[in-house]
Amino acid sequence: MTSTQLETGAELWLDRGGRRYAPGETLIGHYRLGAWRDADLQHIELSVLWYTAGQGEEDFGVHDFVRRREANLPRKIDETPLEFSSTLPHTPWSYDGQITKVCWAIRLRGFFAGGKQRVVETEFWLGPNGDASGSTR
Amino acid sequence: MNEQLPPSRMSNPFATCWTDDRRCGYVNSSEDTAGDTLSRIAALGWRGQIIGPHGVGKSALLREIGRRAAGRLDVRLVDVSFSTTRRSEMLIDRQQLLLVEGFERLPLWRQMGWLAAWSVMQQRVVVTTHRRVPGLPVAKRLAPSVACLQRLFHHHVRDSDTPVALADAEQIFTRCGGDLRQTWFELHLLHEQRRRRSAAKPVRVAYC
Amino acid sequence: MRSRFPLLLKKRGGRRTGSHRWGRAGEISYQAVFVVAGMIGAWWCLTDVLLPERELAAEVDQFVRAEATVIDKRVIVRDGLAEDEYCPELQLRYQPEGRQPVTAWTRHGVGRDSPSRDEAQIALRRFAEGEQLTCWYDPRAPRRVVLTKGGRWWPWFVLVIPVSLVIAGCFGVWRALVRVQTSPERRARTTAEKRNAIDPESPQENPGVRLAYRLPLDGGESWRLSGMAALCVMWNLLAALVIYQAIGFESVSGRVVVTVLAVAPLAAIGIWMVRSLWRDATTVGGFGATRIELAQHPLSPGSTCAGVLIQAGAGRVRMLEASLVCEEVATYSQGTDSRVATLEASRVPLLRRRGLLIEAGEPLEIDFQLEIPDEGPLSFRSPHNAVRWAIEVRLAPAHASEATRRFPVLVSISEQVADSSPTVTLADEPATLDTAGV
Repeated sequence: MTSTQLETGAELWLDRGGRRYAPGETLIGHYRLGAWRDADLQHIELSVLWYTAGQGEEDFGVHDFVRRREANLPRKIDETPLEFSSTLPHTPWSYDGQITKVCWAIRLRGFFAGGKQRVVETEFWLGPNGDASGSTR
Repeated sequence: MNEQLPPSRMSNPFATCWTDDRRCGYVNSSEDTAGDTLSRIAALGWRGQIIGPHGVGKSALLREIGRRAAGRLDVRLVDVSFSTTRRSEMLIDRQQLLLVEGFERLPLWRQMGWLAAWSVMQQRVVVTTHRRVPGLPVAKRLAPSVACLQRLFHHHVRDSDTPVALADAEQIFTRCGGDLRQTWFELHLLHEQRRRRSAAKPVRVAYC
Repeated sequence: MRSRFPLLLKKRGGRRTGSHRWGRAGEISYQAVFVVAGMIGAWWCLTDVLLPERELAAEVDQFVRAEATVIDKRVIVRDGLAEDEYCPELQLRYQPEGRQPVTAWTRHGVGRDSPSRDEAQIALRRFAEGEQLTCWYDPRAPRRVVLTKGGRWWPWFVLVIPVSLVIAGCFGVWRALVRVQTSPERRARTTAEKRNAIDPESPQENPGVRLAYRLPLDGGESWRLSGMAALCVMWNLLAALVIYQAIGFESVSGRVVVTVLAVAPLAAIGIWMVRSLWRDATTVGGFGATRIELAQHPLSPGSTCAGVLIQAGAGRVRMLEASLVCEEVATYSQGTDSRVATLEASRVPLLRRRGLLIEAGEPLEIDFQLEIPDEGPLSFRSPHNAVRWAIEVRLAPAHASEATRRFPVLVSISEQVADSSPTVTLADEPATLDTAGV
């Protein structure tokens, strides 16, 4: 189990060690909102998306998306991680190029009173055998 | 460097998501901070221009000034690259502070028109531009310098593991004639090539 | 696309309050103005011009033809949408069948209504008093007479403007309503249409001669050549026109001045353009067409495919080689320019031949095998980034310039079209995260 925390308060992780997924496979993960609840959390969005990084402008595409209001979420006393799952598409594959990368990630975005937002994100491989790196020939 | 990690924007500290000064914060220099620039603008009656070439941090400084000034004034930001610069956007309440990003992208005749209008209306305005424009005092002149490069380089690599050293950055910066944006592009490529231990490959660049 | 109304930001201590609601209301009001203006314009066009004309055209089909004499001319004023309109009219005298001669005014077929009295007067100059004209009159009401029969379809194009305003305004209102504390991810899911944004190009169904698929040539060169040819023709026509005008000058000094100032530079540039065009044409397509055919397309990672290169032409070829190339493309907006960077990620030689002789009418055919690595990458395209494959052919004829021709190849898997996700560009969005501490 690996986790990435860009901001203190929430945790997001994928159940599969090594973060490698094949096209069409089901991705399962968990998240815990933690200290976000103390900060007037109004709702959260969980998305499975790809984005580009490198020398060009960032593009992204959303494969799966869910939005949940705070009222629908378990109360703070119950800190059991919440599970999510998504069946991954067949394309695009992750690509680790030199000037362009195609990156897959799970993104948890929290919306707070006053218009604040927080993001926690964790990346994973999507490709054949869970690996599609750029050729260096 | 762990080759097993999936690709992400964290893979390279010189990706545009980090080096584009529209998105990253302003990095203060020890000699002249954003607060100093803000004080200077306030002393000039909240009118001024920030001059500098691409990639030197004008946008980041302008936004930092906007954040700091928002405690004292109502601030409005107009980005010329995304805005059609309507009258309602460029002429606002004189008690408000107008920040105009990318003023040099306007045609010359429009620049002259807005400058004249702001002068007549006594509009509080700060613009970023590549060349000095008449009618607004110079609040800050950003010139790409080795010191600026060092500051930004340390800022970008502080949370990253990169095989690129400051000496590489300085060498590329000199070869690029002080073009910071081009320097980031070349450092990006160098980081990738060293991470893979592969031979340098040429990149064809076209402007359109 | 950005919101038209920049946010008014106020900061009180640690809180940030804004006028998102007022900004949204203003945006909706602004867009609604377009909708209202468009609807008013469309209503006026339909009720005042188009529908009456259409009704009249239907009625005129029943009118009877007669010969009329122009008695008088005038311009009358009527109310238009925004200002007075001047209508040219003719007074005609004609004799309906079985009835007494009738004198009546008509404006149908005389000229169009205009906000300018002068323009209406100009329309009347076509007609002279006493002139004989063909007219059509209503047999049920003989004083209704027109000079033309048949409806016009082109005035309906005027509806394009108000309809465009309505569509643009409705779209703007809808956008303003949708953009409520939304994240880029949510907008990508709710507003972007389901399109093949990551499918580089659907493979064209070009059947080959020897193998199943013929790859299209990368159109960049041919489009450029066509554009240059068009420009060259227009320029030389312009130069010829100026020369013709110069010859027509009566004074010798006038001819000299026009020749020096206009004819000479135009002609020089025209000659240069013709020479450049000839040079490029012989480089690009001069030797002979190159075709690439594959047994299957698109290709899959890990697959092997048979291919054939067919080179037409006549003459000796010093070198002919083909390679499978994979490129990365990254586009970055820099001020008003876009910087497009291209890096060759891999190049695999497919074939290489030297010292060839191609006979006229007998194209050279060379077979090869093509293999895509297991790990791909797949062809990919988004608004600012791309990973693309191509077969690159380099041709060096003995007596012509070397040429490079590219044939795009699609590497994908069969589910790619169905699974593509909508795409947005983060660059369109300003920094929306407040990264200050909670």
